[in-house]
Amino acid sequence: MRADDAQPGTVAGRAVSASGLVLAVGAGLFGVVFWLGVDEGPPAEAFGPAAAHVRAGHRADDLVLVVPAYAGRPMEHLGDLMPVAVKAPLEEDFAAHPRVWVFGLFDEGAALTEALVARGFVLAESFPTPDGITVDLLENPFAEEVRFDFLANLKRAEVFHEKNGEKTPCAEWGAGRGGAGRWQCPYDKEWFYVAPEYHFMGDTLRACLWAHPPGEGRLVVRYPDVPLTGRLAGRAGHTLNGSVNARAPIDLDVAIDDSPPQRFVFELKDYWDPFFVRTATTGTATVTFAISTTDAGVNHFCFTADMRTARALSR
Amino acid sequence: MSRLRGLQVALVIAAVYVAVLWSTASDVGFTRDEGYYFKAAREYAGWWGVLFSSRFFDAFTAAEIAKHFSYNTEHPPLVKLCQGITYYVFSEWLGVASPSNGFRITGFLFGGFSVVATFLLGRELVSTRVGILAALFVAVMPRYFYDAHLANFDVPITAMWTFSLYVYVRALRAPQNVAVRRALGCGVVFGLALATKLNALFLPFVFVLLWLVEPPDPLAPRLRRAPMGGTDVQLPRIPIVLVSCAVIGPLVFIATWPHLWHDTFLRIGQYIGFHMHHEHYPAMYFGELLTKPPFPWHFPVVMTALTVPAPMVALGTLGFVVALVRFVRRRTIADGALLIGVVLPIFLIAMPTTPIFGGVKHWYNALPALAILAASSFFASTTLFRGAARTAATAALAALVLAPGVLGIVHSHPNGIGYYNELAGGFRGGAELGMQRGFWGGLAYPLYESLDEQTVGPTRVFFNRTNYDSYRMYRREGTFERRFTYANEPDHAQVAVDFIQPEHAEQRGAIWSWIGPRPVAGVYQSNVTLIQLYVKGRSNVPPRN
Repeated sequence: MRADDAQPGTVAGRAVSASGLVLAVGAGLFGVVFWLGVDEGPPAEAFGPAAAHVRAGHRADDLVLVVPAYAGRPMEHLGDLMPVAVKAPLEEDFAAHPRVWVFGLFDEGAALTEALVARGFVLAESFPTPDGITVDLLENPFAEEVRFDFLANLKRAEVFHEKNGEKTPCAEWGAGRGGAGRWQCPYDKEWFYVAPEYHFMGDTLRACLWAHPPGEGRLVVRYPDVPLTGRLAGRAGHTLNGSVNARAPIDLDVAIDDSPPQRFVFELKDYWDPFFVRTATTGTATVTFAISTTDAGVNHFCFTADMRTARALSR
Repeated sequence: MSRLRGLQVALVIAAVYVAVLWSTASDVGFTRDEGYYFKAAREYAGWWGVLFSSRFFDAFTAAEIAKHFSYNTEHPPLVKLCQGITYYVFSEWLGVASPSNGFRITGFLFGGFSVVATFLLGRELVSTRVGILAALFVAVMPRYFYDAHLANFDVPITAMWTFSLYVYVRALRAPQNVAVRRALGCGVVFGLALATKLNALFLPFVFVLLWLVEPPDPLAPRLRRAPMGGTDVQLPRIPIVLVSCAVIGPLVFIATWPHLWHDTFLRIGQYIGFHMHHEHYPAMYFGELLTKPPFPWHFPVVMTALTVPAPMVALGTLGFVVALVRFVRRRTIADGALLIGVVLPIFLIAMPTTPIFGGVKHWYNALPALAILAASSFFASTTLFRGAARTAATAALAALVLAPGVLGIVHSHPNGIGYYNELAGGFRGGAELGMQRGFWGGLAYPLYESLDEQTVGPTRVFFNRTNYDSYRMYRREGTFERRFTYANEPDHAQVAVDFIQPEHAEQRGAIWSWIGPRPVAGVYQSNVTLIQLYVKGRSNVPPRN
């Protein structure tokens, strides 16, 4: 008997035939309707005019969110403004940004704007845009003022490798990637340095300070005369490559002057986790970041931090 | 429909398929491995020049063989030898194909052959009409269609694997008077399959299992009285086709690969050893970057469900279940061949330690059997119709189940390597699910076509996942001007290509640092980013309006 010879006389045969018919019609129709109706999104020429709204009103401390994260064409028009395109935009560090732009496709912009409004953001303006693109500007009533950016002030820092009570200075200021500069340690220069770089933290590139922990001891980054503002806020974690290839968590110790350091542990799947340290609100201090691990192999670590204060107090 | 008429239809389908592949190939960029095979095929082809010359005997010396066959010894030679031939015939002599298409014509032909082989297997195991529909199912799979354009091995081994199954079943079932002839033919075909790609090493498992499914004699050893007295142990009779495959197969394999003519066993060991310790290539799977074992066993199953058009997935699954139930009740070679044909290739990839790379192409050889099961389910469903309505309904339904594949091809070409089916939600669905969007460097071709407009003067380009041999072919074919040189790293390059592959995203970080964070162009499908291009002096400043 051929395998396609159904046996219409049997219940099983009829059931198989009916199932086949339902699947053929169902899957076929579904497929045809899907591909004929697939939403390609806005055409390439629609992005320029929409992005022009953002460019015209953009300020340096604005945050630009692009959704969905996989739709990267807006970057051709806004990339130099460092927009953020991530799967979970609501987990961003909004406190550092008084205003947020939402550039959205496939109705995801409207959904994100709605979610931000529900969190207390105020919709300041929705711009007229071509079909399929939305551009919204929101004000953030919870924004804080960033007074000191550790990444931007790396050159002021003292970097050294601390091991067995000894300090080996990483005092050579090299060119770094793209001329951004870096503090190089005297050995293992290809990875043992501190520098502002872009690394893939979870699902997007972030500007952060590369700080690979040493095999033994700690890599210490010390900033003198940092203005105290009440709060040190940062983000840190493993790069994606580090998270899949490294074998041990990383400890980040943050100390203000000689006070006991506060330890933050970053497990392998912690890509861009926030950390906070409460500080005094006046004067200056030496802020120390110390990075260490029990296994340095492929343990790619990057962090950023700033000193910030409530915006209302600063006015 | 008669068997002959069915074969004619299958040949027409295959011819159309080859013509479509040929006419659309110039849109498809070169993948990384193609670059290697372009080079290998050309080097191998040089050996033909020695063989068919006054230096005939030199062609067999270790030095001459080493000169032509030392490159890319991790893959057997048949496809590369064919690529060399089609390159010289169609590109160099006839001038009807570009150099790259010259190599790729071998792939087109194997693509067409895979359609015919699927038909033959379907006809042999089920029926002529099932064979035809199965062949069409194979032809309209968008990812398969993409790969059938390439100068690679995956479509060729699918053709050879399927054809091997066909000739083996024919030999196993052969009447006594043609058994030897078919067995010898099967041995040769199996040997050619071995010479095509590593997958063929697993065909003996299929062959033995199929023999055990429906053995002509009892398998258990028996005692019998010896002619001269005493007792003999009578072992089961091994089919001549298995003997043929065991003897002729390896001989053909060695005969087609001059590299093995010296230090034969050492080099066979090196060939197999390479694949036993193959590196693991990263792959994105539901938002997780898979880089090392253990890999999830369900990877090939889920990826099949998300990259084969939905009608074939649905009907194939039904056909698989029906065949399995029927097989449990009464074992037949037909059901056994289809079940093993689907399960074994997927099982091999599903093993947690098997390297997962190249998306779905490494179990393409499971798809003809799945297509046959799908076609079987399809025709079972049409028995619900009676009389004249049956013919019309069958035709309409066939068009309906094939249409999503055709539409998927139209929608995805030339980016079919990143195709996800309607169940996944297409390209956007695949991206939302966190799946790999592309790999192997071929998707950047439209950007390379526009390189001339991006800069003036000598320019160093970081081509990233596009390898040097592919770059050389682009340059040779005039895709971009010769002023563009190949940079291994983004440092100090003036132009850089970024592939949206998280495992290489660190390169994007370097590109942002050295060149700037704003892409100036890209390749998008349904607005899903596949590739982006960065240009020094422009990527760090606002766009000019």
